[in-house]
Amino acid sequence: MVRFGKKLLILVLGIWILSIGICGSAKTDQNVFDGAEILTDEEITQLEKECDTLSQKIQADVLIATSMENASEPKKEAKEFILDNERGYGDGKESILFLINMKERVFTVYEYNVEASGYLLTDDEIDKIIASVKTDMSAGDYLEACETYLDKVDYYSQITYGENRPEQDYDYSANSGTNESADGDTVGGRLLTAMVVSAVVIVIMVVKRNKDAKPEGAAYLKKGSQKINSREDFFTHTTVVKRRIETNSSRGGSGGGSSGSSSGGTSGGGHGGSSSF
Amino acid sequence: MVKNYKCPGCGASMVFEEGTDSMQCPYCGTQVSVEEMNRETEQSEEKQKDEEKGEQEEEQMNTEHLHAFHCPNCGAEMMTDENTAATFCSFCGSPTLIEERLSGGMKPKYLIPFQIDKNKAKEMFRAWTKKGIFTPRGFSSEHALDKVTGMYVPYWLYDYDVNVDLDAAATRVHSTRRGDTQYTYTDHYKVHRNLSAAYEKVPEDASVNMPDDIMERLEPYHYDQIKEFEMPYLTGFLAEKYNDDKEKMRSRAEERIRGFAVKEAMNTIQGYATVNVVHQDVQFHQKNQNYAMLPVWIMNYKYRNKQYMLMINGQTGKMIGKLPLDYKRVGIGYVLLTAILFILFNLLSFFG
Repeated sequence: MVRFGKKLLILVLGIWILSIGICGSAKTDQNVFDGAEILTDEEITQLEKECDTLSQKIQADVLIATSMENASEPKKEAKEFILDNERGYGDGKESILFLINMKERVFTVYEYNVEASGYLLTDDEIDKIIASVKTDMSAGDYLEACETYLDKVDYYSQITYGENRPEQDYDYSANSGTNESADGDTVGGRLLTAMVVSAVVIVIMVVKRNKDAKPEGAAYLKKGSQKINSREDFFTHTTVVKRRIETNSSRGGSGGGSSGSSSGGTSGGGHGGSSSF
Repeated sequence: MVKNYKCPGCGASMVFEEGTDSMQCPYCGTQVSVEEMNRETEQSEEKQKDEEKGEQEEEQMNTEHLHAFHCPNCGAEMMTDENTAATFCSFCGSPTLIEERLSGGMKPKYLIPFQIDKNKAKEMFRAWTKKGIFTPRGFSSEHALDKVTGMYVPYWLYDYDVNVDLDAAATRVHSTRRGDTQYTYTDHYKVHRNLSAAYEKVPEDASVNMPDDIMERLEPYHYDQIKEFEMPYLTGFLAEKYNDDKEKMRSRAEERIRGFAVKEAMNTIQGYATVNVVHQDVQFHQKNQNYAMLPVWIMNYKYRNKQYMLMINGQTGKMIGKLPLDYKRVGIGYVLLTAILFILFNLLSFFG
């Protein structure tokens, strides 16, 4: 029995750890996406490392992406990239993306924040980053452009918050490559929920195991003796409650966001700037 | 006067045979029907009655004050408490009835004979010890069954006619949507029901020694097997005379019947979203109150120096008792369930 119990415990813990592994690795920890293949593997590795360091420092996803897509609206493409890759989602997370579209010959610096407020960068600072990057972009030095972008994001975010960047209620380290779960609190929440539900179920099982139901009155009711002598159902009045149904607003476009109650979903907002090269 | 049913064949004490309507001699195997045994015993007792009258009066005095009897089989002195109506001689093991406690106003009207014999009861107990996922696995082999007692428990069976008058406030809810606005309409109703019903043989155990809650959960007994009381049914078993307060028992029975009747009335109020009872009045009309003996097996057992008790309905086999708890198994169950739920939540989150 004890041996069986130990084996069972080991099995359960194994499944448990595996489950955490699966779920923990569900989110990508990639920060550099070279869809246009303009960077070498070494450059990508170097930029990944730098993005990771900066992400941890400023507590935001710092991303670099290149693409070869048709995109008439660069900021929309940037925002969709963040949303599609599930970056900047949930619990007020924040992402700053440097997106180079080689097909449209346009680059964008875009900041996304669920709360659509408390941005690390101002519009003016984004414009200054674009201006600083443009020379390298025009010269075709994409690695240098990325390095400049990272330096400027670092610089301006320090100006905004200095050493007093407010603590976020989430852990950015997962998205920046340390392989801890970004939604650690949620995993913890799930574990806590599982523990509480299990405790309730086990207590009910323990209490109910020795409880047998008492007999119902039907066991002693004389057959055919039950008679309804009077049965009246009077309608008295009606009360009406009106409730306005809130509809979903569109997902936050550039410069702002909104939330809807009917679906319970929340969308964020972002801001950014673009330039051709 | 103590009563002992002698075998017409060998003179040994006869005992009631569970599941039949007859008595059997455990020594020579002679079988005699309860009716016949009762008649024969009564006839032979008639002859002895005059001779024993003086002695009987003396013993009756003892019954009231000392509760001491002489075993009619071996002559040994037996001590009982004031409620015992059927017992065994502790020297020769002979089954003995204390007639004074089963006659006159103390005579039960009905009895349901044991349908489950001692061996079957033990078998059921053994099966029960293996029941339940949180029961210690060693329990079935380690327990020590101290005592198996077949007992006729005194009950009062109540017949009542009841009338329930009930007023309730009920609602029905429906909603519609026009544009961006949802309208929820709540229709309010005043509901009235008057219902009458008859309840028969609602049992209340009349022994202060038996726990009421457990005895209630041992029910129901099937009255299609109920018999007119005959003393021979009691031989081989313990029995008690009723000793609980009659008034207290009647109010307990009425309270129970009130619950039954109101529930029946509530069951006739259907089709509402909410029903709140605002007034209820239950009128009771007691028709009968009969004294009966109903069969119960009591198993006393010990497990790891702790005493436990299991009761078995001697007619239906329904078992009520407390199984010991294996905390290690509870812990494993908790961890296992937590892990399963955690994995499930994570998978739902991952694929959802």
